[in-house]
Amino acid sequence: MSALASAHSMLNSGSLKARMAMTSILGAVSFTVIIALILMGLGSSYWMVIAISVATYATMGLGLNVVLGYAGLLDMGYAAFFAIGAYTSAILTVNLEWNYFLSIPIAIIVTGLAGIVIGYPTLRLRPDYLAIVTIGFGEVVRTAFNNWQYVGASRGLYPLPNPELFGFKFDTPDLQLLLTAVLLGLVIAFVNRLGISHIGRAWRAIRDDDFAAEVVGIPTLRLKIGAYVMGGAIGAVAGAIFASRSVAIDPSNFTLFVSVQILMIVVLGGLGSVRGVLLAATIFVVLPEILREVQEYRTLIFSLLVIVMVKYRPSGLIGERVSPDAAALPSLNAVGSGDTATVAEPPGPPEPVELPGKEPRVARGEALLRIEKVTQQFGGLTALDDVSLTVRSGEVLGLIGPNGAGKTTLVNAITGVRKPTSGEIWLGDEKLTGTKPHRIAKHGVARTFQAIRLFPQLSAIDNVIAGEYQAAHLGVVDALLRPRRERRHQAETVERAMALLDQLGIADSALRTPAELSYADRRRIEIARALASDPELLILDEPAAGMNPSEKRDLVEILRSIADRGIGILLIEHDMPLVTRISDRAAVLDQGRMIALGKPDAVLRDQRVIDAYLGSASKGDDDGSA
Amino acid sequence: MSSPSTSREGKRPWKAIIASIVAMFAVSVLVAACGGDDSDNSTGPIKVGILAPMSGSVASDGEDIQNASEMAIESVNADGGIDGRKIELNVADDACEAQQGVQAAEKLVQDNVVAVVGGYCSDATLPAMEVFSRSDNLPFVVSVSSNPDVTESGFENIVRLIGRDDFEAPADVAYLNDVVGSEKVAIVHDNTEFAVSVADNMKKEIEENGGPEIVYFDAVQPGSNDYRAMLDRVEREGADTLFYTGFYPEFGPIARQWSSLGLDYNLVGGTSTINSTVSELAPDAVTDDRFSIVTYPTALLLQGKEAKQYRADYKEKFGNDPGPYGVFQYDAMKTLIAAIEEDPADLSHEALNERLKATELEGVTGSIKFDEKGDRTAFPYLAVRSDGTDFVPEYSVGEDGTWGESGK
Amino acid sequence: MDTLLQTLVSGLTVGSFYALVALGYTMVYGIVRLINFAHGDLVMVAAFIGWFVLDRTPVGDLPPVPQIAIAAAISISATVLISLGLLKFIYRSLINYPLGFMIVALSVAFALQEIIKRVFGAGDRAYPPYTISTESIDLLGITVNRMDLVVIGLAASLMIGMLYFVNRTQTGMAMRALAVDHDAARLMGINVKALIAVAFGIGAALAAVTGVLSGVYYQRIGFEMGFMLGLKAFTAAVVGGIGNVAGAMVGGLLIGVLEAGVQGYLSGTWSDAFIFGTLILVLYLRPRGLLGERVAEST
Repeated sequence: MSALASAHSMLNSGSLKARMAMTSILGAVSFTVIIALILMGLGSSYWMVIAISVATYATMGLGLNVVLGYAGLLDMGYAAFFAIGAYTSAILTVNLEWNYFLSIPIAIIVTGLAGIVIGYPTLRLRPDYLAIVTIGFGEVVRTAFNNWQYVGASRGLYPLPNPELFGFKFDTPDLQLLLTAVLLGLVIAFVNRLGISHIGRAWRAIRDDDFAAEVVGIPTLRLKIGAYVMGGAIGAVAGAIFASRSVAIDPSNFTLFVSVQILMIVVLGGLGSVRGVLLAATIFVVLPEILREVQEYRTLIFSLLVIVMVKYRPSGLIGERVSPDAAALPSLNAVGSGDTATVAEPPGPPEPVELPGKEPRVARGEALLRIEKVTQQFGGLTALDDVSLTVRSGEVLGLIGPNGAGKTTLVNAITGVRKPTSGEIWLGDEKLTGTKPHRIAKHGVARTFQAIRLFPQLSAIDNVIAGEYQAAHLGVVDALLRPRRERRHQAETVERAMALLDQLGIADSALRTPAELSYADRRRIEIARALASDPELLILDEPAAGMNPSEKRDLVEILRSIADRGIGILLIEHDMPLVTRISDRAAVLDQGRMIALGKPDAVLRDQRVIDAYLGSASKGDDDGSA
Repeated sequence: MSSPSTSREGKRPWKAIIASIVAMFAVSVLVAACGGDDSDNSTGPIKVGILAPMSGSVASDGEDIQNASEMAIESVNADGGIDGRKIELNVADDACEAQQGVQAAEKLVQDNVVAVVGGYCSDATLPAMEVFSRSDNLPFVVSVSSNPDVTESGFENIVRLIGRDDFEAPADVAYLNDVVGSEKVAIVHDNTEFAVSVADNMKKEIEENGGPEIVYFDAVQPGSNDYRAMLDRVEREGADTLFYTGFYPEFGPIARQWSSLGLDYNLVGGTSTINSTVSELAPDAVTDDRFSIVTYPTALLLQGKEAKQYRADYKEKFGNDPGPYGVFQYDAMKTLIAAIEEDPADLSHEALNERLKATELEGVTGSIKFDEKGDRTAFPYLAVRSDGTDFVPEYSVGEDGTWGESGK
Repeated sequence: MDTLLQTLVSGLTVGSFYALVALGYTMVYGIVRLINFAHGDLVMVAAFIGWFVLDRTPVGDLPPVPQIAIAAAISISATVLISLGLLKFIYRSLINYPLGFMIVALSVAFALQEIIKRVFGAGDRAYPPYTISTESIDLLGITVNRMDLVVIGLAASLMIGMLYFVNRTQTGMAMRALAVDHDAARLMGINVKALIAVAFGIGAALAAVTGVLSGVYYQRIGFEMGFMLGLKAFTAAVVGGIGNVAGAMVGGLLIGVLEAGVQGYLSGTWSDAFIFGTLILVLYLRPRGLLGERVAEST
């Protein structure tokens, strides 16, 4: 069990600990405060105010990083959050004479609510539409502040009071820097915590392929809104920092151009990389101060840098390093090279992975999945015509049929990708029709795709872990406030994922990205990802495609052992010998109709089935023989 | 298939590059941070800070401000300076933006200047004022920022050369009353801070002190090209005059479409609409009797002897015509120099602030004298129309605040 | 009543500009399904190229019609070349990385603005005055600038041309096939790479026409003129149904008339907010746009 050992060593590796330090509030705040103290020691208020500018941009960058870097949502109106945060804080302190520190949580809440209001309708749109809608949102918000007399309309609010705590005024640059450093430290800690949490992992899966993420059980819409709202909340903190130190705010501080600048900082730093954003924000603010000539060319230089970066180094100045696996590379190298010698040998009989006990929905051999009179029409075309089918617990049911027979359409209907025109689908006593894909996954249906859909930027093990999301009994509060629980959860998920990869014989590829793997290995990762959700029904869409005979033999054994655990398997496959060898029963679809069902051998000898396959090749002969 | 070890090696040059960038950066920041100037300012050259937008969208005006400042000290330095001390300029770029404004202000404070002259965008000026006031009320002679808050916030260290936005509105309304004789006016702005505040103040002025009925009050979107829908609406609302408080890039097309639609009402532009491009785009409009622009006495419009000298000197020294607002910076510098000359031995902030407020002199932009807030007591607005080649003053505001024919 | 017509004419003219830019968006989007944020700035670059030819070269000494024709031809060729260059050296490798593509396109937009600002200065530039764009005529009791008719007519004929191209020519039909399914199109022997280039080229040509036309009509051009125009045109394309040639025209005119109508009858202050509000509303109620999009759904 070298792979399991490596999973342990991964978690114990030193670099991981180092990274975890920045998820500690104390650690991150000390880091920023020490830098602040050094600058204060130098005694130049000029450099202190520059540091405050850096912190403002860095905070905004970190907030956008949650939206864009973690979740992959192109928000081009991020300045709107910055504006709402700054204005909320300013209204509370100026118009209502609240204490500044009380205004910060309110600013966060108001911005979060704005995020929900705008995010809910727009985040279901295609990602490119989101970009344009968020630009619109940014402009609408700015126009609103520009015309709202209560906040001074275009003139803005002036003067804003200095922050005050128990009569102690933060009225000099050094004190303001200290305050800003504490806020930035908190933001760094929370952003890091989000990044390593189960939510952060799910966000990255969404960023890579939101459709696949939904189907493996990640509630994508809710998590996108979550990213948008949390990014917005951090923008509110940046807004509050800005409001406290710039004495005046007016709508011209929050233009589209500001959104674009923050976007550039995040891309330059590296999508998802906290340290990258900090570095990029520093360069963005400080470089023009050192080299005055740069000031004039800043936008040009940074636009060109972004173009070059995205083209040649998409990971940014400092690529994100949040998954534990990347940090554990050295320890795995040893394991990997050890295993290369044995790669040619078929893996031994797979040992079942211990999955957390879940009460099976139905007894072994009982009907698990019931498809009842399902019809699916696209326009005038009937893709499924009154199909009924049952998959029993613990059986392998082969679903065959010529191309275009409706096999994948049926899978899409089961997994909630598309609601059938009529008919119902049940899993045990749970009705699946009309349910969202991620709920169906949570109910215990997992699938693979005909055209493999792995998360391309995630390593194999992270792909598998994405499948475990729906089993995580953790929430936002855990992600933000209970890093220890998150770490424990992560240790468990890594261990289980490694065990699954090991079972499928690809443990030594755990840290590679899909692009680095062979086609067959990618299929195996997809199967491991499907198994990771601890399904009761596993749907495999042509899993053997691209596999050589020995790999197919392994696959048969793996599938057999899965079925032996009481999991129902719906197997779509073109490889007839494989279907015959593995299936308990076989069903045949032709032109959307179920034309045969029974023992595989018998079904394949059925005249109608033969006709269907021949017929799909040459329609003309069909009529004569019928 | 690349193994993990090779892919890591591939990243190494990047790491080195990034590490060296970070290191260079840290070193230069440290060097710069330690290089503060702690010298006493009672000997050596007199350092004067210039706060201006040297980058960003209004950088050309920043350059004009810098040029005007240089011209103002030229003769003083040529005569051996004040009390043997030459004046040295220290220019800080506020980029017309709040964060940069604070940084630039702190830089000037760190460099130990005796006073700061400048301020163009109030976005940058207001936060900078806060910094100066915190630094023992470092004297700040504001040249071009017209936001009323600059002198309304109760700071001790401010005097201002240009007219306030809320000075403009009464002058605009008086112009409508005295010269245009308007009874129904349409006021249009462009949603920007300056234009909205002039428009709002006009409305307030009319409500408080009487004037034409406002039949239409709205904005256009800056950057659009077609304003006919708005122009038409103004006609429909029955206005006899359209007053536009926005900026010249929009005023050009507005004037042009106003004239091509053959509309019946008068067209008047506010202080930010004067620019040669307006004549270029709307040659028919700018010579029309019903067209006029209310403006500050900008460098090209001033008629006095000093103003002609200023224009000639500027052109000779820098090779081009002065920008519109540099002349206020020039007068601001002259005001500061006068205050310094009064007692060159005592340049403490307190003494200098006191003397600045009391300064009286004849500047290029007219008589300079400050009220207790630091604003000029009388402000000489002009109303201009084109004679086919240049804008020429037709009317001006007298000492009593009423408009009359401009004495040419 | 005649003021309503007047507002309508103004709206249709502005809308025709939006429609021309939207047409370019739709061509590119229909094929690569990516927003080219720099498209609006191509209009700006084209306007400046046209200005340069008219103002700084001997072409400016010719009579109006030939000088505009030559300036337009040069501007169109140069803009198409720039667009193809951007495609070849920058965009091509990012077509399968939508997030990267959009971020890069945005950066290209700002880089173009900065470059033009460096080369031609931050101030506005003016095209020479042409009588066709300064003199008005009386039409059915409303004052119409003759350029209004030129702009609307040109936009309409270009749209009809595009409809013909897409529906009747082999290249056009191949593009439609490509819009439906990249892989299938490739299997059918369609040269995907070449068609993407054709789409970018047509888009750039339409952008160039828009830029020069805008300069000739309004005279005023500036480095910031393109970005907002591009955003509104994209909005128009989405409202009409992206990927749909007729939709781009309908969407463009609709947005133009809406803008003029809001300015003329509601509130100019809020007109941009209205446009983006319309976009959000349309996406919410009719996500495929008014005429329906011609882009295959993603599964």
